[in-house]
Amino acid sequence: MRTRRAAVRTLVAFALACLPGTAQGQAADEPPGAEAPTPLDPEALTIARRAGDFLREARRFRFSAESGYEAVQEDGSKLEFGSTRRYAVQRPDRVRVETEPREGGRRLTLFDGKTFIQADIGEDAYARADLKQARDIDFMIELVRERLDAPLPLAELLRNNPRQAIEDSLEAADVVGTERLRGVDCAHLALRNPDADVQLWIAQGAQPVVRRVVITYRKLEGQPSFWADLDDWSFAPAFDAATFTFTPPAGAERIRFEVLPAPAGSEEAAQ
Amino acid sequence: MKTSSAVRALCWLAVLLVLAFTAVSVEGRGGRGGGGGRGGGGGFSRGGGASSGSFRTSRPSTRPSYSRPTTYPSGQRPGQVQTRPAQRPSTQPTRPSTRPAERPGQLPSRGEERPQQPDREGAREDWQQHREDMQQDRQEYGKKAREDWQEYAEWDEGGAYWVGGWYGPVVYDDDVDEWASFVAGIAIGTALTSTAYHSMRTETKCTPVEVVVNEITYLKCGDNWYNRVMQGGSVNYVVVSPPAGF
Repeated sequence: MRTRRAAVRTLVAFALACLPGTAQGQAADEPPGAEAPTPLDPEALTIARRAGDFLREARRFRFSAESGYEAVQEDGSKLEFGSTRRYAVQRPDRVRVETEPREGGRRLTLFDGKTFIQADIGEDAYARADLKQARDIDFMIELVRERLDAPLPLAELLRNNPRQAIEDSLEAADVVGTERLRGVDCAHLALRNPDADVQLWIAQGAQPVVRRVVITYRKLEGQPSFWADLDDWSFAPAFDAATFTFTPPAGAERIRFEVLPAPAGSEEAAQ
Repeated sequence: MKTSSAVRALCWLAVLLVLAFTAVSVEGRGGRGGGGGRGGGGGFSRGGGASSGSFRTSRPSTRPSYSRPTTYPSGQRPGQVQTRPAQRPSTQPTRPSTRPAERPGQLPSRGEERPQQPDREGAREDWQQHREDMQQDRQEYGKKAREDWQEYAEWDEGGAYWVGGWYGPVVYDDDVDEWASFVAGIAIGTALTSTAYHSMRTETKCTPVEVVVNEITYLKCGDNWYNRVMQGGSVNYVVVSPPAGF
């Protein structure tokens, strides 16, 4: 198997070297001192900030996302898996995320400021945590990602200050151009932070919502990507009492969460 | 001129060979996954950092070993203010596995989506690994269990932290950004995904005995007792010590 891979690599290298106009060849042809793109293009920042501010001002909203991500296999190949999610947000402290993985099942994440629920409907089980004091969405995101080690894609858009989340540690920002996505003209932005390349497609017009996200994790082995198409944006959703509360189905078992230890290096863990 | 034609011919030959090899490789991979049913098949990894969908990289991984329950770090007491780093160094213990490391150090079978459909090959690997882990874990169980319960008892006596019920993991103190877990049972083995657990049940022809002790449901399969836990947004099965009286 290794011999075959080595042979493939050699042949690929040889074939690429033969083809005219390869990226490698072009790089070599570029004149020295060619002008590098502006690290933080003001227009790109303006568009990103407008989208972030628009979302911050939206006190209640819904959207859905069809997403996929690459799982890097042992042999270096990548497979895609994904989910459909429906998000409901009421700032500053209520979130509902319904997840339907492609392979089946249904999961639920709920937070109403005081109570946090994760339910695995297929397994007929749920876990619940009650906070001593009311907290906001940002706190919930921290909980989910840092202590429960659960994925919460697109959480940056749920945060109470999405603009800040989008701009976090930006090293580069550029406008790629205007592109039409599912019938909507969008600004295609290329952002870069220390961990990832983030591409955003932001709708032009009165509602500058994010219509597509592609994230490439440069520092992870195999540089896997995550993508999501966002649709069904609604800024006048009909939420009711049941939107952010959970009524366990009859017979559902309440189980405990598995919680990660405190981050290594923190004072908490160092004690 | 003749040389140029020869080089061009060689190039095309190389391209054709690459395509041929690629086709064979894809076929080979597909074959490995065969028999896994809907959802992918044996041994494919579904996890990885990209499943987070976060704009920044989640801290590189960090799933604790199940040879020991996740109690609060030894020596911790309420009131200590922590500074959480933006990114967690990958210095924490990881669970050994026969599967590829998806997110560095992360429980390999865990990811955004976990297969609901039978994943027999992967489940078998997990189960076999699980049994090996169990043997090793048991040897240290007695000592660790004692230490862990002592640790918990100290917490409980402290009283400054509110614990959200016996299963509530969230311990939150006013103005102190600290979290701790509450361990319902004592985890002494590895965690199984629900798929691996159900595969194990099928293979061992086990009909689990369900026992509820102090509102906690224990499942007994063979010699092992399990608790279900919510891990990474879905249910996992962890091996625990027998409930009191068993």
